Amino acid sequence: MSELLVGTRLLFGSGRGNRVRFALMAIGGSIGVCCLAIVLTIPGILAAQDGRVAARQPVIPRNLSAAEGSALPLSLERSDPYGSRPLTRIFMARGTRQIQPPPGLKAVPARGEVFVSPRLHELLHAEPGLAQRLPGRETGLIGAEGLARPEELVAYVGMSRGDLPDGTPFSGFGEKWAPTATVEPSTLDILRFTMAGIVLLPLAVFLSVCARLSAAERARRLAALRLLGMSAKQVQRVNAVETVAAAGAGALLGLGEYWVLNRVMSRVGLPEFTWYSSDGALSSSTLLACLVGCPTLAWFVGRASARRAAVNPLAVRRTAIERRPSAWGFFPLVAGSGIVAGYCLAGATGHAPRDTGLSSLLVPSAVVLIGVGLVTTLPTTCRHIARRVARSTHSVALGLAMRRNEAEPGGALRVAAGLVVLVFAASLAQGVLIELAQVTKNTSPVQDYDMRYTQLTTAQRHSLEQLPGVRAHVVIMDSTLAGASETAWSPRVVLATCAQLRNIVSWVGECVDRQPLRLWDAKLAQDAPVAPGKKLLLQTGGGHRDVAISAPERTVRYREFDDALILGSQSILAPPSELPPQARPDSAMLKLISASDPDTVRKVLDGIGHVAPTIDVIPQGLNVTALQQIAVVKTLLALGMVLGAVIGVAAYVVAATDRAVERRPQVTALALLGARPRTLRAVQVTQVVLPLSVGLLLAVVLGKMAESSYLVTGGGTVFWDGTGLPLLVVGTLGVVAVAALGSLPLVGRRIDPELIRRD
Amino acid sequence: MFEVLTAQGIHLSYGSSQAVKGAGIVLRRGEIAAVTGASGSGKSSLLYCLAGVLPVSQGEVRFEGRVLGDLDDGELSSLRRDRFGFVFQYGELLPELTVEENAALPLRLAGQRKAQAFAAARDVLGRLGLADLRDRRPSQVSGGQNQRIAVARALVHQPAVVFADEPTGSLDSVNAEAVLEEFLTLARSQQSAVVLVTHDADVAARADTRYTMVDGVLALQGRSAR
Repeated sequence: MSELLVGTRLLFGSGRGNRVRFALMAIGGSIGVCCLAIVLTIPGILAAQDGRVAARQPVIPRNLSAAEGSALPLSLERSDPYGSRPLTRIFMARGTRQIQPPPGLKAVPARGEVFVSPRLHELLHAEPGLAQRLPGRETGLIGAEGLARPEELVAYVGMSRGDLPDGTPFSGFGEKWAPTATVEPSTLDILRFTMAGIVLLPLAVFLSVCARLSAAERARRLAALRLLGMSAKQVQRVNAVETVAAAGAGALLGLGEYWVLNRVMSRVGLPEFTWYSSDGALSSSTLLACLVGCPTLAWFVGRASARRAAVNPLAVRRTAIERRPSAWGFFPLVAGSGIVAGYCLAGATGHAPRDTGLSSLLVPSAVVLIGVGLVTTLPTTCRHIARRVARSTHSVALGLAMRRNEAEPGGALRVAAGLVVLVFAASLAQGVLIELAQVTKNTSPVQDYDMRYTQLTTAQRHSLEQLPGVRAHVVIMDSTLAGASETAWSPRVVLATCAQLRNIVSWVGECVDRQPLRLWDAKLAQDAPVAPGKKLLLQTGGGHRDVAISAPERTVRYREFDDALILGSQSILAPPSELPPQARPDSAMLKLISASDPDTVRKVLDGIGHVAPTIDVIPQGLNVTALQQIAVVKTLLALGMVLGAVIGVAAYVVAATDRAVERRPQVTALALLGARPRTLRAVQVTQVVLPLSVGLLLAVVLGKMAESSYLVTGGGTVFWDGTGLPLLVVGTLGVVAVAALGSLPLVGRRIDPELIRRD
Repeated sequence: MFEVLTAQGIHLSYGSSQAVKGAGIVLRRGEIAAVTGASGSGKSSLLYCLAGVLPVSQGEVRFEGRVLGDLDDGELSSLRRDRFGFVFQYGELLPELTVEENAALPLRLAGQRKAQAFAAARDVLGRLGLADLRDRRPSQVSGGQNQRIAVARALVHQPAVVFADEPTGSLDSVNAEAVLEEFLTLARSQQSAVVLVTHDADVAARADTRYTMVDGVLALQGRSAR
């Protein structure tokens, strides 16, 4: 109890300077708590969004009789890309049985009625062509309870039952799970882990920095208490009372900041990620983590930071130099870097591990070990380097700065750790993005759209083939080998002219029309060729006789565009006339080809929507759901980076300022002894730049190794990200430059002798 | 004797309160001048005015004929570095530097090579009986030894004037006596003038010239026959 009283007395009764320090600690802590609240709330926001998507899913009854089926309304959902975002169109046809309307609507839309989300409403005004995908007239807007997020593109389109032959009867709305999560659970785990690395590690450093503000001055005060008769534990508790009070005030303030931020940002939104402010409401677990977790952490930090004053008060009173940091600090770094080095080696030698079970444990452990190790080794590494440089240098400024870093490695750690951990996490975030990008993007210069041939009328087919932006069209269908079993492999048949072929691929050799040719691309994996002369049967459906063609001997060489697989080597190119005009082959797909730039893709999809609104279009290589996910993940990672940067910079500013303030008597003495201002500035910059540079160098090297390990174990084909390296290096150099420049104002221009006259 | 530092009618104000009111002083080469006065009388403010650290609001301070108020920041820094020395009440040694590095600091700041500066520092430290401590840190030596190191730092570059602000204020009487003796002996041997601010009459009694300061007003108290 007495410790509490003394701590409180010291907190509020130690003059203006102490109150300012308390305010700084509380404000610093509040920034950290606000960032923590953001990170902890993100899964809740995603869950709320998925919950609303699940709530609008039609419930499809099982074992439905024909009579029941005809009484129930029908629904058909189509999701196709609008740029990189999915446009969800839910077609509905009323039945005789009345059901509850979907969330966000007052009634199931009648034929010709279109209800759209607010964002889609805006887009329809901006781009009237988009209306082609929504047959009917816009009748109203979908309410927030029917949308995952404010920016979602959703439309309910009322149709007649006859217009929805593929529609499914449903009895109501509300499933347990959304068909696709906003962010896949596995991706969410990676995201959480990365966010923890980007935000929570710097946050822990930052809170420690805040809790140790004015460390030297406080240590002297605590040492005095110890010398006056307080026990070591009592002294530690007195200090902890101060830090807990500041952390508690910071937590309350931080939650308030979060509340305001949530309100503002939910209106403004982030690129590709918007949410309703109610989704971002603080959960009880988040409140608990912030209000209890942070002060608890502060308690331990407060106790730990008072340890030296409690154990050796005399040394503190006499401003003894810090003890040499323990070599044990290297252990996590060595262990973690050993693991990632092993994975890097495995990847480089082509022995990427197939067993993901062990890797899923080892790689994250290594990442955490390295993150912690970067922080714990920084004092020892910096002290060692500083000592050597101080001995060998002839520069006064460098010598003074190095002696300072040698004598106070903990100060160097506090200044640099936040930014170092941030840069380490940034390289990991790059890895996550690379891993995700491998599965989502169409990197080919051409985009193809597959539609089932049988779902289109002849008129629709012709219209689609003439759409603006479509550069070629082909029909691709399966064949069977005459006399072989149905499961035996046989080549696909591409019904196209040579001219069409030339529009589909990047290069075509000698091509002859009106006869079957064997397609051959040397760069592609080859299926086993069918012997020339073998009879291939094309099932034409619609009551027509099967068409037979002979496997040709003659080959046409061609080359697919990079990253595209439209035709497939060893397919048979056959004249379009082989297919009778009224044929309805089940296996046939109409494939349209356009350029892959977003505008053209959008225009073609709009056109398809106009011609055949309910057709199921498969844009090959364009995984719009994944694209949406990666957009969200990118935004969240970017948010994490921004938060990490805010925390890292705040930690740097607070620690560097604190260090400068504590250093003022010595700097004043130096100035009085005639040190030039530029010498003082050089000392200030150098003593900041050294630990930062050492830490950042380690962070970049180990970060890239950790990223590579992640890629090696991620199942992708890219193990090394060379393209992200320049950005990381430039960013790192930028951090050093900004930190160096930022430290300059900390050297005061005016000499105030009062600073050295008072203890 | 050659006048190194003169001040005429100097005033210094902190807001509405006047710390120094029309003070005048003449300091000759090798002269030890002591300023005594109660705490808050303005004697430290006067000291820093004389050193050109605090700009005077009226009057002028001249060092070797140059008016300090006319010098820019670089010139003043240069003056403090090359021609002045300082001893502070609490030493203000840099805790991260060794004793030798602390003592050599003014020479290093003045651009002298490391080896030469350290040799000069070793010489002064030896004269003050600190040769064995040169590789230690300030935290590893006693308070009296720390203050001797501060004296060594103030005199290592053989300044024209040493400004000493309560140089023995943090020491016990035995240590204070010893440090003061060594300080003044060394200063005299180098012909360095000393401005000594103290509240201790016994310390002031060791000076050639004694001034008193009461509420910002400086008065000559007396000169010794030395």
